[in-house]
Amino acid sequence: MAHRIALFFLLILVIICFIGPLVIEAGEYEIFYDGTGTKILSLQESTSQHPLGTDRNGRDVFVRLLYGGRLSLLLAAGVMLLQTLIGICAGLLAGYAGKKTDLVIMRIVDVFNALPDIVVILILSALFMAYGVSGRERVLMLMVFLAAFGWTFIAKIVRSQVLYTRGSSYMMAAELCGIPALRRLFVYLLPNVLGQVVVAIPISIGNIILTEATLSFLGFGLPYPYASWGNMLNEAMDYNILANHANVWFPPGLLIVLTVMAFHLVGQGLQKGVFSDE
Amino acid sequence: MFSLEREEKKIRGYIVKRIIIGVFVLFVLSLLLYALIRIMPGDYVQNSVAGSGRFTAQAKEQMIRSYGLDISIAEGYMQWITNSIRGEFGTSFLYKRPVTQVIGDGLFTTLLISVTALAIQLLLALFLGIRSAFKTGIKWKLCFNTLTVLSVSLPVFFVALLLQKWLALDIALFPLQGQVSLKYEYTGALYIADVMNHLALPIITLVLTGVGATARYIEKHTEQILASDFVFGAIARGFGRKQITRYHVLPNLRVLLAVIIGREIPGLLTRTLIVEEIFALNGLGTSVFAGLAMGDIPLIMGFSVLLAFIVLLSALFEDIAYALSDPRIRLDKGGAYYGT
Repeated sequence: MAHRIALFFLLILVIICFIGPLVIEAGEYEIFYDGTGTKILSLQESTSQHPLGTDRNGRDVFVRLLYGGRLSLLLAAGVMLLQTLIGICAGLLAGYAGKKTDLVIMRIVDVFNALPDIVVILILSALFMAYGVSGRERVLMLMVFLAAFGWTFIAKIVRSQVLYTRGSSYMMAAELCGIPALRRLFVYLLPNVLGQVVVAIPISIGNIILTEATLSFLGFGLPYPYASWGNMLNEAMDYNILANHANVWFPPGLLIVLTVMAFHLVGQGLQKGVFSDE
Repeated sequence: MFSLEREEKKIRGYIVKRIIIGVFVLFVLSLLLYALIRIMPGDYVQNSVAGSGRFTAQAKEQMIRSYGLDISIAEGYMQWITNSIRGEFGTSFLYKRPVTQVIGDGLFTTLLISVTALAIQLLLALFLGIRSAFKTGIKWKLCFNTLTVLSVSLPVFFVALLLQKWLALDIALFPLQGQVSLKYEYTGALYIADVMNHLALPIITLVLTGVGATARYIEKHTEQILASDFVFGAIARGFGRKQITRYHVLPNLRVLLAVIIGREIPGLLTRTLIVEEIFALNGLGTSVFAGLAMGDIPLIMGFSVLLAFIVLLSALFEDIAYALSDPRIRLDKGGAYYGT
């Protein structure tokens, strides 16, 4: 039941976040002025024009929520795609290529697993900020960094599944028929492994969103001028906004929690569905 | 044939092997990091001089030389590694003090918060996890599941801000930020109480965001223990819930706890650094974030080495705990991954 609600919530969220910015004419960095056009409408309470009010720089909080959600979801999907690709290749290689390769790959997995991803990405991001990389490139950079830390668990799943299936009789039959190794890997082995990977994906997407939000909050994630749920919360580091203007920082925080939770619940539902059928 | 002596020797050899791999990884990581910092065009001198016209080209050159930024990357790295093997990590550009001192000052607060939080988190997770494993009602399970998922999904900074808003501003139960009261100078027991009062919110934040995953882990393993034959036998002999917990569940969870601790450390460290930043504590986080932004090479390098050291140590801790917990895990074939 819970995972159905979660799936419904995610669907609604995706629809709103992707259609919203197309319908609304205001940009994510549009600053609103009052009637005379001279004074910035900063830190407004909610009105009919700005349902969640405006932030310190006079930007509409609701509009930024939509843009931020779109970017966060897109980024998470991109990272997921990238890390699944790396993870599957590494896992297949580790499981199939032999003991030495296996050992080396598993040691690399070991190192990446042990490093605190956020701190390392922080150091890297700070370096690239000093380098003066542009905003768009930093979004791509962030995707690569996140994927570089995310592929390990997929590699582990794939590897253990490969070890499990490689001894089966149909694999032996395929080998005896003279089917080349690459084809055996991708056509015979991969489909058997994919189910396990798919089940792990939603929870991983949730974690990517959480990590991205944390980095953005600290100012090392999605860069200016992009809106992101994480960097919207950064405004609450200001005492006045924290104390008196909850409408600026509470909605993005709540959305992060709900979204990540929904992804976790959907992941649990998938796991239950897949593993109880067996 | 199983012989205890040979197993012990095997474990010792395994540990030595892991330490050698760890040192090698540490070496590679530090080299990569040093090269990366030096390749970047903006260096510390540029960052610190920026905006003030007081410095002549000559003075800048002198600064670059005094910070050792004029030599090549290979040379600089050789210098750094030979010094750091002797335990000299250089002087922080930003704080003008030895790096070990800067890090040491921050480390105390960081350790105080994280160790306290970890202890509370483990106790709470043990209590909740074991309790939940005994329950079979659907309502309890649903509640437990939702709460642990919530805890896993909570961003550290959002919890910190919510607690600040609610407990520090609206109710004024705890101070908003800082490590000690600046208004009064407490001594002795009052000083300790004052510090604990200031550290309460950071610790609560860490516990709330960490307890979910741990409780879930403990619940899952307790359920496995409860499903085993020896527990069935214990129930048949008329053991109650308390006795089963004490004589069967807790001893079997002992090694798992070590694994959990080893696994928690990297994440806990990250969360502690963020919490320190938000609550303005004089921990490692604050000084390191400042050093990062300025390109303070000795400080970043020193911190990274410390980080890598802690992380490798905790991974080692986890692996050894695994190996000790289950002799079936084949140590000679690359460690714990083969067992799971």
